[in-house]
Amino acid sequence: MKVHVDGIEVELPAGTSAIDAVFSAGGDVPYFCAHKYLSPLGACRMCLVESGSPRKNPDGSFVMEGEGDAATPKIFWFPKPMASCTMQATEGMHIRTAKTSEVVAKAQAGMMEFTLLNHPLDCPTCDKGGACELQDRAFEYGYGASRFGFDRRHAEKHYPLSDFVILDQERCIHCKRCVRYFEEVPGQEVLDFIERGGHTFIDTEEGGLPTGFSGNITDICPVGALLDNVARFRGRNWEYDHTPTTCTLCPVGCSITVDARNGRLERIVAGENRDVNEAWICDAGRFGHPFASEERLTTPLVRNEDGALIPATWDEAITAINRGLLGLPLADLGLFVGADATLEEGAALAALADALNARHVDHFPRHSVFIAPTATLTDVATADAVVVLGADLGEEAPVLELRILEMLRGGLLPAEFAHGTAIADLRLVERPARRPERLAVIGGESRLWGHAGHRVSANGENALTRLAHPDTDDLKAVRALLDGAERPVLILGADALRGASGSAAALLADLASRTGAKVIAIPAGPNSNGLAALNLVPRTGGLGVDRLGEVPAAFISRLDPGMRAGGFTVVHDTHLTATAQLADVVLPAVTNYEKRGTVQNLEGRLLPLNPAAIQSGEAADLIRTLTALAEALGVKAPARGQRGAQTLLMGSVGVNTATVQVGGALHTFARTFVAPAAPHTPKLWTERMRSRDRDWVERIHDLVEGGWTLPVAPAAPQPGGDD
Amino acid sequence: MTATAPTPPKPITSAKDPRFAPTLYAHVGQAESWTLPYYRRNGGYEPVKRAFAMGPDAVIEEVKKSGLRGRGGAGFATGLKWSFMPLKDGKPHYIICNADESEPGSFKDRYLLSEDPHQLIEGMIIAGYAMRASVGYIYIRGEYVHAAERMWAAIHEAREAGLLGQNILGSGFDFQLYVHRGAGAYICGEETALMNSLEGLRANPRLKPPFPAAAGLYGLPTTINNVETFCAATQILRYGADWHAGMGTEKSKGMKLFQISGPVARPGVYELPLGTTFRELIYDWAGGPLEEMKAIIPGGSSCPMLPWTDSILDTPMDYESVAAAGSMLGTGGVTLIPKADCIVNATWNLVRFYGHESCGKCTPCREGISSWMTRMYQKLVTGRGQPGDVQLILDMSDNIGGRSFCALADACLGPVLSSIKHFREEYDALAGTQQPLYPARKRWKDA
Amino acid sequence: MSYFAEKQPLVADIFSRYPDSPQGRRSALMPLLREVQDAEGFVSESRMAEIAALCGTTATEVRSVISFYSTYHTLPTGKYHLQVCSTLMCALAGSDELWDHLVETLDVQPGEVSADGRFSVQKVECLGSCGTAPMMQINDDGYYENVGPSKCARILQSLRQDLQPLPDNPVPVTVGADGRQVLATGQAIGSSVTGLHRLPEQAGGEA
Ligand SMILES: Cc1cc2nc3c(=O)[nH]c(=O)nc-3n(C[C@H](O)[C@H](O)[C@H](O)COP(=O)(O)O)c2cc1C
Ligand code: SF4
Ligand code: SF4
Ligand code: SF4
Ligand code: FES
Ligand code: FES
Repeated sequence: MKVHVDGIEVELPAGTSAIDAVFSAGGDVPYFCAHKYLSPLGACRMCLVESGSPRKNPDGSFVMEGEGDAATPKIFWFPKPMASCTMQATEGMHIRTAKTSEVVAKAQAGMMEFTLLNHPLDCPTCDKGGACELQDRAFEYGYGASRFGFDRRHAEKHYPLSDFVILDQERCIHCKRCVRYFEEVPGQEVLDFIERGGHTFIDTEEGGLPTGFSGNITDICPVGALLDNVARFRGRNWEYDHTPTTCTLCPVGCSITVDARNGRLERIVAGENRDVNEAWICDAGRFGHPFASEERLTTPLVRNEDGALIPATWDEAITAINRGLLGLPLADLGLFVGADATLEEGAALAALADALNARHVDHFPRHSVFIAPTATLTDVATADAVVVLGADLGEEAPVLELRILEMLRGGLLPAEFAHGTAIADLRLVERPARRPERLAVIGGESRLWGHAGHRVSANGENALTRLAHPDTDDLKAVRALLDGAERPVLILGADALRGASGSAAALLADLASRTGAKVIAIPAGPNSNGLAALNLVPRTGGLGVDRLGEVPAAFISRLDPGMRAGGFTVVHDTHLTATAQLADVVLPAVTNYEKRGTVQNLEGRLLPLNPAAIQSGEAADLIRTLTALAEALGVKAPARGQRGAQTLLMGSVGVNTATVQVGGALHTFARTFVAPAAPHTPKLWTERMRSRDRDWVERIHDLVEGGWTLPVAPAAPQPGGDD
Repeated sequence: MTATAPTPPKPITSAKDPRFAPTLYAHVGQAESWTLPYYRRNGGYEPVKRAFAMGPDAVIEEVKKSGLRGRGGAGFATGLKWSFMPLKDGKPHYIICNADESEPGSFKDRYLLSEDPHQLIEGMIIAGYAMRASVGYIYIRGEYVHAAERMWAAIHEAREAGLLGQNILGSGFDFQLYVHRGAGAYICGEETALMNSLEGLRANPRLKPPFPAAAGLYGLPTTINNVETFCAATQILRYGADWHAGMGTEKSKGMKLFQISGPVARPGVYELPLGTTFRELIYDWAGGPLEEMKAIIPGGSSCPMLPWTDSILDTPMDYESVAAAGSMLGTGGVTLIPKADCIVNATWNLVRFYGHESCGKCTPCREGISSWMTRMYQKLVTGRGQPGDVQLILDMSDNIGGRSFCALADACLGPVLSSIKHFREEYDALAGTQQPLYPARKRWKDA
Repeated sequence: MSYFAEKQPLVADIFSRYPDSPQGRRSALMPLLREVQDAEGFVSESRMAEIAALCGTTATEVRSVISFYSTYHTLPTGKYHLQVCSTLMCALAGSDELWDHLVETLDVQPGEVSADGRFSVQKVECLGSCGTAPMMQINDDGYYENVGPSKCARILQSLRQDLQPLPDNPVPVTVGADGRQVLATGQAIGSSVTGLHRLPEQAGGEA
């Protein structure tokens, strides 16, 4: 279909909205209520354009204008401007934006005046300043002055909707993005307009927004009405360094942007990855970052004669390790790592283990079987049946839950254009009809339970067996759902995989092939899928991390089992964890927000990590730390830095992570390593993920109560230092 | 086969014509008119039998032929609207009666509901049959308590008598009918807002397309008509499309319930053929104005005011003639505004009404009307006007008009723009000298 | 204490009007609110929660809906809640003065309840009674129309004695018992339905 925007002709697929036609043609239209992943609404009326179409004569020919060869189909213009976000572009349509139409320019300036009518003049103190859609668009499309000579509407300016989200009711421009988001995406009716007309405001009656996916509204609010309370007053948007990277709190691997200022991680916002998280992240991923800039270890610590851990240089730490391990056969040293280590780090560790001939090697958490993913997240969203076995997605893989809910509302993925995801996909509708009968949940109760048409209370551990041989009517119904579906997906969680063996994997493979189901077995840790490709499980005669106490001596990176090895213990971590407190030498680690590297998510997608500018003193990633350990052991370092680790990885598993693109790429490793695993119950939030900085909380309170006037962005305390 | 058509008789354009008889209101005001026995005694539930005998498609043809246009305000051809319903989609269909009657100056539906509920029920059975709908809802504004009670009682009577339910009168047609009461919101008269209200949601209008005939109530094919429209269908099935088409003008056929309010001798509702002049309504039926007038609101408060002139008084009340005169026929609710009343104050009353009733969904209405326009008028009528205020109102109107999500914001501009157009001097006085040309006066008195 | 627990037949009747689906359940929201308000005069928070559970939604949504419409109350009103139409057609018949009179003589402002608990007042918009203006509604009980000064005095006097007069429901229509409409002069004119030709029942579709 051909559409003309301000005289430029573009070729577009049928069904494209007028607003996307404009952007496809390189044009621009201001908009507030439209949002890529939400239903078009047509409420803000900013996106007005003039439009007209050719008409046909009764004989099917076009009504023409002009003479002879110069004749062109006559364009019949609508008498008034139309909202482009809710209008479908049609063959031969002509569209005029403010660029070529006085009428549109005036209409938009007038609409901007209305939008700003009751909006407070808070820009200098507003956290949204510098990244505010209203501020930007007012500058581009407004009159520059308001003729409204009356008092603005006054309302609550510091209204907490939860611990994490704060609302300024005066700033709200009633775009309804937040309300539509909750209803359409997590399927929660927890936020809505109250009153009507000029008195309308946003509120909840739930005694606070539920934690889970609430933070996304702070991203999509086009103004500073809904703000991230954790990042409140922390900095101005133009002061932040923005680092696009991947969240590694769970194996979904959402795209995020980490905002740092003065070396502190102040805020995390969602990034867009159409294949993974679309534009949403969970509250843990967004708000659970205070640990990255609170109470960090910035130097190595070495236990002195008095038994106290005291700060030391890396050289001193290397010496201490060397001394502590003196006489220990190198093959007796345990090497253990947390499952959020990157592939590169894992490769370096595996190489060191090879070099030492170490037996006691492990990563944690992991399952005792490896089930290769055959479904992608997009497959989940577009499935016609999903069966979830023994999973608590809220703890294991939150955004996977959103993709399942997307399936329930029809799995309509917004179209993609050269200018990005469709701004207004007209197939998305408000309060979409849902198909709960397409979802079956077998196992314990969870948040997803309420959305499922089939709910079978079962012990997760034998859920798979029972589904393969259904013994109740409920299970038979689930089986029938699977059998009848064309694109079914099976999802297995921690309960279903706990203690699973090869026979379970075979049973699953059989069920999948009988029903045509694709499978996702949620990995136990954020990068467990990737690390399984490396030989990081106990080797012949070796012990796993669950038997740490029996290992003669150990190096433990970013794991907190709360115990030490039988002998000399080196801990590499970001904080003085319970385990670190028991260690002989503690080495400071960087968080995953500070790393470059690659992880593999639950669907097998390789995703890149990029380092944000966070100060952590002398902390080092595992690769550099292993160099130090190698030096202490007197062996050759497995890799000197990222580049070397990539080469190692290339050699061991044949994948070049240097070329992984921003959106990631699916990859299947040829070989995986498994071993019996200790039981593990996934838990998303840890204590350190909530801020422990009480002073700051009080300071904010004082600012709010005291009627602040100036932008307040405190100089960050300098982390690290020598004493 | 072509028959030689006899010269058609001259269409009826006055209720004084001996060929004209009130039908919609034939029984309104009579004792027990709302009961089933009364209704049946007067030929009730005969038209529906005729409909069943004709078959659904012929009913739609009959309504098309009658020239009936929607009586809810927009005047859309009813038969055509009915024909938009999909025929063989296998989905449940709904019909809804819009009994939200909230446009100031309109009060005709109220008496149809409370005094002749079976006429509406019958019209809805006929419509449901024609459009293959097996469920109908009557959305009655919340304040019409009495009407809703009468309506429920009539539905129960009809159910007992086998006129609603399974296999009505042996036709094989099943139809259920329910009352759903509103709760005080003018916007519920807008058909998509009404559907949201019926679904237990805030009554914000919905996006169109999809139009209700494709995806309406619960996402299923739905047709909404005004109370009077359904009642007229009953009469068309009783007396025939030709009878209906024999009244009115070429494009505005049939009879219409005209309401008249303001200081006239006999305010009330009159059933007159379309094409009756304002003069006939105001003088012959309503007994003439009680004082000197200056403006006529021709069809409910959103229709632009017209000046009190001979040519306006002689304008026939049909959709086209009133449009040509610069306004709209709307609901047929005529209101007279006396010379001695301040037009700015009268307009302020209506602006305040629309501001109060704005649903708040879209910016031009929520901010432009509800927040700003109301205050501009308040400023003028409380003696704080300034030069330039009227110009500003006009420019704001330009930024609101045709830019809003639904027609409510435009409805507010009807009185605003027309009063400025015809009575600019009253505005200028308030903006210039802060004094109204017509100061407030006492109006409250015993009837 | 639950309001609906003892009223299962009523609840079932309300639900039976709407489809047996989540959307249909939600449709019962307004009728259920009306039940509570009719019985208790207002809708309290605990009732909102109860209705939310019945309709499969949340208290947030219930409050959102309540606040959208103008006839629901979340606080108790007076025993007689006087709702005075203030829209133009009534204003042309003196409704402003009626309002001022009520506020003054009852000594109560909108949002308040009079000291004796008897009266509260609310300005409302056109109630579809413009032909019999000015008018007011008392509670949800019905309309009082053509409320001139003397009628107003009579109504207030009765209410003070807790003797609520019945709503009057005049019908401003001039069709006589013979089915003919009457001109302002008193003359019946035109025809009645008996003068129209009713079509036979089995006429079929073709004309
Ligand atoms: C703001 C607004 C209010 C309306 N109010 C009413 C009303 O109270 N009653 C009514 O029948 N139609 C009302 N309408 C018109 C309806 O949307 C719809 O067109 C009508 O019910 C269709 O019925 P009809 O074709 O029989 O006229 C209103 C429209 C708008 C935009
Ligand atoms: S709070 Fe923000 S997102 Fe929500 S309606 Fe207001 S402006 Fe829109
Ligand atoms: S779902 Fe997982 S990857 Fe995504 S933000 Fe949450 S914790 Fe991070
Ligand atoms: S014009 Fe907009 S705000 Fe006004 S009633 Fe319609 S949708 Fe609501
Ligand atoms: S109306 Fe808000 S973006 Fe189109
Ligand atoms: S204006 Fe008061 S009832 Fe219509």
